[in-house]
Amino acid sequence: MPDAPDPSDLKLLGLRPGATRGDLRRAYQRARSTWAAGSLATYGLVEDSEREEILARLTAAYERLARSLEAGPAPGEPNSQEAPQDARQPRGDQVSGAESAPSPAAVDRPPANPGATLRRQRLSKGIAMELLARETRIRPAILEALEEGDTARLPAPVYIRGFIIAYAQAIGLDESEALARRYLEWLETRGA
Amino acid sequence: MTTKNQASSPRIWAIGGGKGGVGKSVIAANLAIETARRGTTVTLVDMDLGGANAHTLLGLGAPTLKITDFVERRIATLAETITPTPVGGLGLIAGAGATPGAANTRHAQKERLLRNLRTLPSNVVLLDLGAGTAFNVLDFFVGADLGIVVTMPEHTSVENANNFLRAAFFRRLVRSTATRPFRSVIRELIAQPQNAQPLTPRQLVDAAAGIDEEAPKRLRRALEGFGPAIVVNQVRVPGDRALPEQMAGAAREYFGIAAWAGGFIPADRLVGRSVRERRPVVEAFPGAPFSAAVGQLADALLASGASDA
Repeated sequence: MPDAPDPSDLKLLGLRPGATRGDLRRAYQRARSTWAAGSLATYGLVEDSEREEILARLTAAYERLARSLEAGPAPGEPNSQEAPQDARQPRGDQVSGAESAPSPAAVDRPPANPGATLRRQRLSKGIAMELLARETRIRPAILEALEEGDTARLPAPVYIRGFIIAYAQAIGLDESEALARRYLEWLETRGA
Repeated sequence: MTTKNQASSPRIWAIGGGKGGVGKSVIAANLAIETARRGTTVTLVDMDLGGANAHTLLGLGAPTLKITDFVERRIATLAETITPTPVGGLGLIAGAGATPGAANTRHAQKERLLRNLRTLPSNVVLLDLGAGTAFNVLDFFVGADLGIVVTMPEHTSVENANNFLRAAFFRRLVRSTATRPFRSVIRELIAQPQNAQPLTPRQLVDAAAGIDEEAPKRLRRALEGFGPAIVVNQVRVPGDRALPEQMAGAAREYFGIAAWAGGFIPADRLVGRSVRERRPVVEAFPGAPFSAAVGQLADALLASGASDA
């Protein structure tokens, strides 16, 4: 049973307690298009790194709220996908993509979970979990386990390579092969 | 609807936006008329001290009395400088035209003007501020009960509007820190060394905890009480209709202020024609898309006051 919606998450997305999943979806869609790369609304407001950080914060808040609200009743609304309906990349995003995406460097500190880097990259691009699940056709539970490096919930390493490549490609990262290799090496250090 | 009686001091609305030429004055003049038509008495104050022309937009000749007559103390009270207009419930305080130095009001003059604006005998006082982010403009903007930022759906205007919001945020921050030592520390935080990475608004507010633990909470409350409306003028394509909500959301999420979407105003050829004919758009072309949008804006602004006035 998920917790009640976090008030600071609600506030971040400009929602009031009692907001429905529909409210949440609309608020997040607005936030996502606002903070997308190349968005007119934020022109002259922030540096790109700041923009990504804000988008990541909003996306993380959205995911937590979506999980909380899933448990509660939502009359008249389908129980399944609450993902934004638009394409994988946020609207107004004409410049970002594989070439402009920051390379997942800084992964070469061996103890760090490479899944955390994937998560950071995903959030900074405003790609919510259920959107990624739809895009990759991988179950959200597996994607979460990948991000958390939760070996107990992960399948055998032989299946993981394909998951990581699909994940990395779906969020527009280059070097998906190298990422998968690093991920498996990291799992080995964990004795998986 | 009956005219509200003038029991308390007027609600001050201020129109700003950083960039010239986005339609602030045309919107101000027509908004003043639409608001007056809703049974609310309005004084339109032309504070575009560098290039006043509200009287022309209202189809009036050159007024005998101007705001400068009050500022330069030829007239004792601001209310005496109100020029009547043919619109019921609407009075005008005309601007000065291009008087050298007029755009640089001194501090004492500014305070006196602010005080007198509060004593005007109407329900709403609508300030048409000039372009730019000078303290003159900013202080009237953040000192108003309701700020209205006007921009257009193009990069230069949005950039200027965002810079204007940033400047207004800092001005509001400084003005909401009442005690002197506190204020000077905030000033110091804002004026960082040139080579340092500038603090984000969020970091700036958090850094105030170094002065006093409760400070960030207090500052956040003060900023949440600052709720400018974002209006996007000359919208041509449907994709730009989302811009007011996006810009307001960005300001909420970035500065922590309670910005909200005042709406968009469609591009309308009849605006240019009515300006050339020296007739307010809402009078010459009441059915024009521009007129409808300005009417909705008047409704939204009046509704925003109903909840917190």
